[in-house]
Amino acid sequence: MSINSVMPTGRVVAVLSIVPLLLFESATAQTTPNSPARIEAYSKLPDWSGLWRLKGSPGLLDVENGRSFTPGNRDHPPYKPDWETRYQTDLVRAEHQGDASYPNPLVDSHTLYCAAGMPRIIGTPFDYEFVVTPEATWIIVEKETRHIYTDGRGFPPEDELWPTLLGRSIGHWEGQTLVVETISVKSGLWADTTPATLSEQAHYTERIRQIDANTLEDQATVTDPIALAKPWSFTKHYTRMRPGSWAAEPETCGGPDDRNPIVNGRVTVVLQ
Amino acid sequence: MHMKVNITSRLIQLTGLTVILAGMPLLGHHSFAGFDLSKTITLTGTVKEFQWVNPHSWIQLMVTDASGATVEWSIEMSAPSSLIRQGWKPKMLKPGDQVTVTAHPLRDGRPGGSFVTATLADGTHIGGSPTGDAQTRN
Repeated sequence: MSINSVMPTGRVVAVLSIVPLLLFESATAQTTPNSPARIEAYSKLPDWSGLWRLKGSPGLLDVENGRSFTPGNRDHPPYKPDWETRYQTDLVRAEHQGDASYPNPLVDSHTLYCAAGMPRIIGTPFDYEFVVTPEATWIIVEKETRHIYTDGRGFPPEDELWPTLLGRSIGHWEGQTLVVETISVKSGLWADTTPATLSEQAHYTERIRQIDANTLEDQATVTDPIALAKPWSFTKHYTRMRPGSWAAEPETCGGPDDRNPIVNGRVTVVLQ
Repeated sequence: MHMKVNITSRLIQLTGLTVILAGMPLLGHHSFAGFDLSKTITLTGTVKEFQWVNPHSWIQLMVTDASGATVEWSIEMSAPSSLIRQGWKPKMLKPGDQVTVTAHPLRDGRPGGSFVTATLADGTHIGGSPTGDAQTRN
């Protein structure tokens, strides 16, 4: 039996138009309010709202307020000899990434992936937003988001892990300090503005805390039994931007307005 | 209209703006490896087009060279969101505007450069270098 057989058309329309409202009302009624326990957990977390910017130059190898390749102003990954040799070779290849005549250039992974990945995301020139909740903290950096789960979970089982740009991150709070562990990061990503890379065995530990009203600090230590002879540590700081600042528009890669395409494995500049 | 090219390895300082050169300026997604950051040129010409686009903005500048020929220069700037924090506006340059631009030239000799500063017709000096660090871009 069709509905038209028992109800005038105009009334059918009226009834059908009400259905979405009833469904919306039903959904609203089922909304789960924040529990007192969650509100309590929230109240113990720090307020890192707003936009933040990296202090000093982008990159992890640079001493803050120093610059890349400034003598005496540069840290260095404590590589094992074979990784050090490759790093030195790749430094030369990277210097020629825009050179059409060079036989074997190396293009920055940030350009290739249109993403910083770990650990470079700790030291980018883009805006940072720290969204802190009891269950997770999201660190939003341009169009990349780090998901740091603080709900007590462990890492996924090994057979559910594969290397990714940002890896898998879990964390916990020690007072007002967020302690983050990250594993399963893709190899070949530049850790810096130079081709400092790590293996997929790299394990990152970060301690993120607020050290004054307008400064966040991230102390990071990396262990890597494949690439590093000993743990590598670095610290970055972020300065709070003016209240009301608008987040920067994420930069696109490719598309009709991108005049820096990668052609034949080389960075190019398109003139008009 | 004329072209003035001054090549210098010194750091450039203009009205409160210090541009510090990095050896390998790969700060964001897009590499600036094609530009020679050890050199700075000065170009005076007429704006053909101001491209306020993502990922990087561009000034297309018509410049008369020493032989009297008009050459179109492409000057690459940083992202619109970065430029606006340094005082730029999307319609700050219009076709026909006379400007003087300093830039790091392309290594391959083509008429292109990485923007350092501009001096507008009203005398305003303004930066917006894509190789500026996080603080100068803030």
